[in-house]
Amino acid sequence: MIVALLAAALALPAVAAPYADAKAAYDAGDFERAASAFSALVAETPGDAALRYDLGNALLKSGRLGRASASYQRAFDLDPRDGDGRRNLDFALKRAGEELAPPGVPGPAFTAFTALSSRELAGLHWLAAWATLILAGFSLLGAAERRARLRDWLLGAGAAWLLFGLWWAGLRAVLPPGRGVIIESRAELRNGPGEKFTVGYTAPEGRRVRILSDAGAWLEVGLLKEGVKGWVLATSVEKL
Amino acid sequence: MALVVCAWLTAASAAAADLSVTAALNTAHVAFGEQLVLSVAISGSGSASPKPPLIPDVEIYESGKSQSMSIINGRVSSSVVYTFVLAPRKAGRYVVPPIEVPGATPTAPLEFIADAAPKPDIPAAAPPPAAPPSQPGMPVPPTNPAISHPTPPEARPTGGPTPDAFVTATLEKNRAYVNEQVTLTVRFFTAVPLLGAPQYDAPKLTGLLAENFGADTQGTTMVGGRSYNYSELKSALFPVQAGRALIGPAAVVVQIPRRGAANTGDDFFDRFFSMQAPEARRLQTDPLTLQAEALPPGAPEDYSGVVGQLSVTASVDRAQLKAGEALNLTVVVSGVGNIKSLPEPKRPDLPSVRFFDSESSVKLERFGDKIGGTKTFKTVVVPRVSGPLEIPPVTVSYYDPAKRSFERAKSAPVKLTVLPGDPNAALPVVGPGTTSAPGVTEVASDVSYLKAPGGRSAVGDALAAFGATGPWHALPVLFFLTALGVDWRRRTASANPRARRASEARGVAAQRLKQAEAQPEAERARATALLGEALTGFFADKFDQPAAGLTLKAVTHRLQNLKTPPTAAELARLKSVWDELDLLRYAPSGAGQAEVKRLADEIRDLTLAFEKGGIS
Repeated sequence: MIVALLAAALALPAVAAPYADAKAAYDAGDFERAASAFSALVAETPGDAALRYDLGNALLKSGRLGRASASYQRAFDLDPRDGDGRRNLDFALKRAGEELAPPGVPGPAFTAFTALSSRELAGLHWLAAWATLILAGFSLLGAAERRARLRDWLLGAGAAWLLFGLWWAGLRAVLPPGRGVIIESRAELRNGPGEKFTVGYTAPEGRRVRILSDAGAWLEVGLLKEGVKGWVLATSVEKL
Repeated sequence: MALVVCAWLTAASAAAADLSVTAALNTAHVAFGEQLVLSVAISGSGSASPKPPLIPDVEIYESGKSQSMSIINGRVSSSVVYTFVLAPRKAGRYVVPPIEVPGATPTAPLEFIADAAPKPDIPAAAPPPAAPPSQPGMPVPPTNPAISHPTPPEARPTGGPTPDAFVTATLEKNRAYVNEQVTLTVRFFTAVPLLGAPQYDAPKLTGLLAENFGADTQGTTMVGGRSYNYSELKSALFPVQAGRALIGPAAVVVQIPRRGAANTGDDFFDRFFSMQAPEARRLQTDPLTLQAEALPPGAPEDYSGVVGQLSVTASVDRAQLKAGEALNLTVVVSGVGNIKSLPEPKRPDLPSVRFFDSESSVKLERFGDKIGGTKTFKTVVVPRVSGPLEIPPVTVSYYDPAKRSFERAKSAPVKLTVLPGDPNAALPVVGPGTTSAPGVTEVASDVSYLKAPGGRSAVGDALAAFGATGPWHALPVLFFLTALGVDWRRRTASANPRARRASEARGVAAQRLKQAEAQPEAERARATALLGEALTGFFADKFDQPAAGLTLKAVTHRLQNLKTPPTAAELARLKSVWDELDLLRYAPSGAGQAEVKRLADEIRDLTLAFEKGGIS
């Protein structure tokens, strides 16, 4: 026990020191070094939304809009209720000619819709599913008296299951899993997976895309805002 | 001559007495992006000119003026028509306020509507007015050429002998896009010396704006074997909206010497005395039409409305200044096209910079047969905060008819160094007695600052972890399915009691056997009775009969009539056990514990064998 406590005490400064270094580099305006340091921290703790947010800041300040946007998007996926993260993602998206809220959707409505992350909604969906199935099982096994007693609970759990299931499905439709961000300026979208195909569109750096198919060196992507698709070099896209 | 001058002066003084002003719009509906023309006509004399009306959200500029003079029954009347172009900047209903000219009654207000969506197909304008009857010897102007075939420079009157003077009007092409330049060439030919300067009456334009090319061209040419002096005047026409635009007759009023019948002699005095009063003759062309077509779809949001070729430059008068100080930003748009109608390019969205209202000036130039020039916008700019400042490129979109596409001209960005200004001067000024607090002004937009790691939501993490448990989510499904199966079985059993009794027969028998084995030594008779009840009860349940009175013979008979009857050995075992139980039932001591155990095992084996054999 003593050994474990000692190890924990020694480990805390070891984690805090790289963050302090990264923050110092950021404060000094050395955004490249800050980006490297934050990137190393993110590799150690990939589930920390704040670190991904900080990495996005350093990348944006060092001029890498596409990678910054990807990092902000990951932070948003992890912690959508963070106002700063939401604001910075919107800031980066606007630079690429896009906005966080889809066109025509009021900002407050989109904020409410994305208040829970996909992972949290998945958890709530399964929790409601467990409750509904277990209550239904007990209700089936019990006598008529027990069934009457469990009826309201069963209905509530079923409604919650339906609500969270639909919400989760809607969120996955708006923010689908197979997404990416353009990380090169004016990436060329071709009509096929190769240089021999003509360029149909160009997409600015930082624009979010949906990855439709993967052919190794080439990815078929769809631009979420414009609704057009094309093939782009895999090196031009950072998958989310 | 003195008579003519007197008549002129008399007419002029009469005109001054009845000065009037009228205003008219060429249309009451335009599509957003199109322009309309306000014509203000001032009849009478005087040097007053109308001021452009002020209409919010409408770009207004003066397109020129035309003066016309007419002599009807010896009375001279003149009018000046000032043309203003109105370009609405957004859709909506607009009111042109009354036009005021000193000494005249103001005009009535006018209304027009700018539709949000471009009109897909604008009906053709009113049919052109009937051409005035051709005067004797009046030349017939050539037909409008096709778009790609410009009119040959030479024009010739057709039919009859060559006249002493005539006038022609030709269009460069008869189809054009809205706001695309089309050159109108008016030529006046004369083969005789004229008395006095000819008066040119410019054609009345409907749905068109005109810019003159400047000085006219003069020369000599042969038409029909006769030598003519000619004057050529070119104008650039710009259709203001889609549909049919009209170019009225171009007219020239000339004084041609009238000669008597015997004026062909060589003697000077004969010719002089045979001359009569000069003949005032009005020569005019037939009206022309121009089909204006809407631009193809796909215009960018910042489309300026110009059809031609443009370039943009942006410059400042100094590259370094203090925050709060002003500098001049000059944006020059130059090129070919209706540069006069160009609105101010959109200002960059820079919250850290304050832009004041712009002043614009236009300089028109001639580029061969095209008109263009430069439009300069000067803006005072005041940076609010210190630091490096880059004014982003200024862009102007236009339609290039040569490339048949919308293009965007872009200036280079302007880089400035803004030094810290006087802190006191930078403070917002609040006047004495002002109770309202100064508002918050966003001066620059940037990302929010760093965020310390950690601080994650435990509930959120727990939910996420629970959602990612994968195959474990099958557990409640299995439980539910099991419960569903149990419930189904229960419902089925309650619906068929005979089947339920048969299915539970072996279980009941097993329970009785267990009870028999558990009986103490003193209860041998009870144990023996339980063994018998287990065996007879099993068959009674299977055959749905009362256990009392069930004999070995009846059981054997039922067993032998089954679809798959038991073997003889099994029947023999059954008989043996049945007989042994009957014997023990009537024995005074009953069965010992060991015997009970043996018999219970035997009955278990038998019931299992019959159960497997499909007894029912």
